[in-house]
Amino acid sequence: MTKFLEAISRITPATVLVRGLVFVFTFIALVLAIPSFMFGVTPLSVAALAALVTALAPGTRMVTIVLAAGLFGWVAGWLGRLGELSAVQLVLFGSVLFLAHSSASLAALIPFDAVVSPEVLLRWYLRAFAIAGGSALVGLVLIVGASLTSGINGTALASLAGLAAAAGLIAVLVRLLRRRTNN
Amino acid sequence: MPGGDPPPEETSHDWHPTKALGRALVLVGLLLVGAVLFGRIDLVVIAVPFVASVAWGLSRRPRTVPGLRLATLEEYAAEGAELTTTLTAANRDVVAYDLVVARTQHSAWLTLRSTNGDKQPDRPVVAALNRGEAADVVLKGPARRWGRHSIGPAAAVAAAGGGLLACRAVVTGSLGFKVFPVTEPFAAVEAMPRAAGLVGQHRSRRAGEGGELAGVRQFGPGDRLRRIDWRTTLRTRQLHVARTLSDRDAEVVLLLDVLTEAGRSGGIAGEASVVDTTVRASAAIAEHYLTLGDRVSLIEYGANDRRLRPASGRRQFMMVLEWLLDVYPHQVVRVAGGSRLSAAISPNALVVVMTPLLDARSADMIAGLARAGRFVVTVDTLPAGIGTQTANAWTPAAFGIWRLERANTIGQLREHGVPVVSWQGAGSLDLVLRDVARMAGRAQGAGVHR
Repeated sequence: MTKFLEAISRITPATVLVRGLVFVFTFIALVLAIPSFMFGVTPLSVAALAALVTALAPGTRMVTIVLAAGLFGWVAGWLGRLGELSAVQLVLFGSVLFLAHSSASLAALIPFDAVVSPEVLLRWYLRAFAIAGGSALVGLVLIVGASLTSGINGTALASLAGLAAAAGLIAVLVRLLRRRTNN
Repeated sequence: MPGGDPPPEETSHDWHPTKALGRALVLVGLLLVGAVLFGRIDLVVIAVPFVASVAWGLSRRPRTVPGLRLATLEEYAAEGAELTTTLTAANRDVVAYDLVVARTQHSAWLTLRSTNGDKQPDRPVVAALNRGEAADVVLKGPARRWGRHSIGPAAAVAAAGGGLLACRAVVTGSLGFKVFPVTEPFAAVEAMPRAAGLVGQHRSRRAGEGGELAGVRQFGPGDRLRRIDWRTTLRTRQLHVARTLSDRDAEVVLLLDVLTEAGRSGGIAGEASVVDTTVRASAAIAEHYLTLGDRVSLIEYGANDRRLRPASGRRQFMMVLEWLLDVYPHQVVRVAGGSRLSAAISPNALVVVMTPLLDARSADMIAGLARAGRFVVTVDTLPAGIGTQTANAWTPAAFGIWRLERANTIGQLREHGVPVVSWQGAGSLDLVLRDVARMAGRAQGAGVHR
């Protein structure tokens, strides 16, 4: 107990800030992922609890599980009614989900009692927001392109883009594996 | 003083993927599989930032681990003196590090605090390092207790590629510090019981060449002309010479009882334990007698039969301080070299025993030295306010009995002619040295009469 209290007293503001951001982004992502027909106090409480767990244990598999659960909720929530989905809502969810993932990555790297240079946080979040912003633009282009061809629920385009991205991902993984084998 | 500075290594296997990379790939995989299976463009849009971050991160793969160096200005210091250590982390790679987490550990008796940022002690420091950039963390603070202390090892871990890659820990070696005990002010003006050598600063009880006037007597064959006291010669109209006492040096043996430790050590500004008092008092007494030109030797009464041979001068003082750094209390069944202790000590030496008198063997040893005709002075190193934790109703009574038994032992030692004094710093031994010198004079007188 004494050790726990001592550890609590050693926590620095920067780590609290980063873990706070993990909580906020994860909670927003989970709230956006809750299907409208399930929206209520209980799902919100569960989302808050899951976000808290993510913030407290950013270096564990819990983060992957929570973010994957958010994705599952999103897929289930918009199943069959993709036409009602607005582009802003979609881009916001994607960006917030990525920021939750990025914040958890940073929180996992920083010890809870570390003295953190402000430059670290500034550079990290500038990059994260730049990626999120750039991706939002790409996403909007994709949505507009899909709308022009066959609407936002264009199945063929999604399948093609998904396959292309999956092929790219496999290429990246193979490259990584080859590097590791060479070493 | 250089610290550990590992050479740069051009190996990419020093870097490994983090959980963040695994998570990003899992999420992208799930999203893309979902997009293909359900034909949903929204999942592709959601996957875009993850794909972009992975692509950006892996395109900037680092190759070299960060350089880490621990350096200090001082190799030794006195208790309470400030020490300065610099921990330098450098990026020798071609890409920037998102962050480097560096930390070092150090002896608990060194209160080192970071001089940059918030002055928090003993915390990891996180900094972002561009290509070719280095960051210094200056740790500064006092050494609170004598002994051999260390700073380090220091360790650093870097992350790059948006936190997707992390390097193995880079670890430096440790830096050793010698922190010498502060010599508490000590001055003994009384004569040594038996000065032994032919040179020194103590006035002896024998007439001879020296500076201390002992009287005036008639001129005799062999007297030097420069010794003639002209005032008395003119008054008495007979040649008279000034009689002086010879100046002699002496041997001082400091016997350190390290069989037991008691009390709590609070560093230079706090309470002193038995070993603290033993070491600081020994350093003070040694400094005092070495300054006077005497020979000082040290003997450890404990598990290790450690001895420092008698010598004089500044060099011996440094040897004494170095020797004292390795004084550790050891509870042992058999004391090494205990039986031949008196044989190893010169009969003319002044033996100052630093002991808490907590072990019956210590009292036996002191009594044995006194019986063997050594001039023994005992310095009681037990802290004044020592108490005990009350375990049950009988504890205070048992503690009282133990106190009485110890007082009885001290009384018995005094009856054997061994003075026992508590260490009080300056002038601690003056009173007892006078008694010992008087006893030595009586013993010499008795010898002459026989």
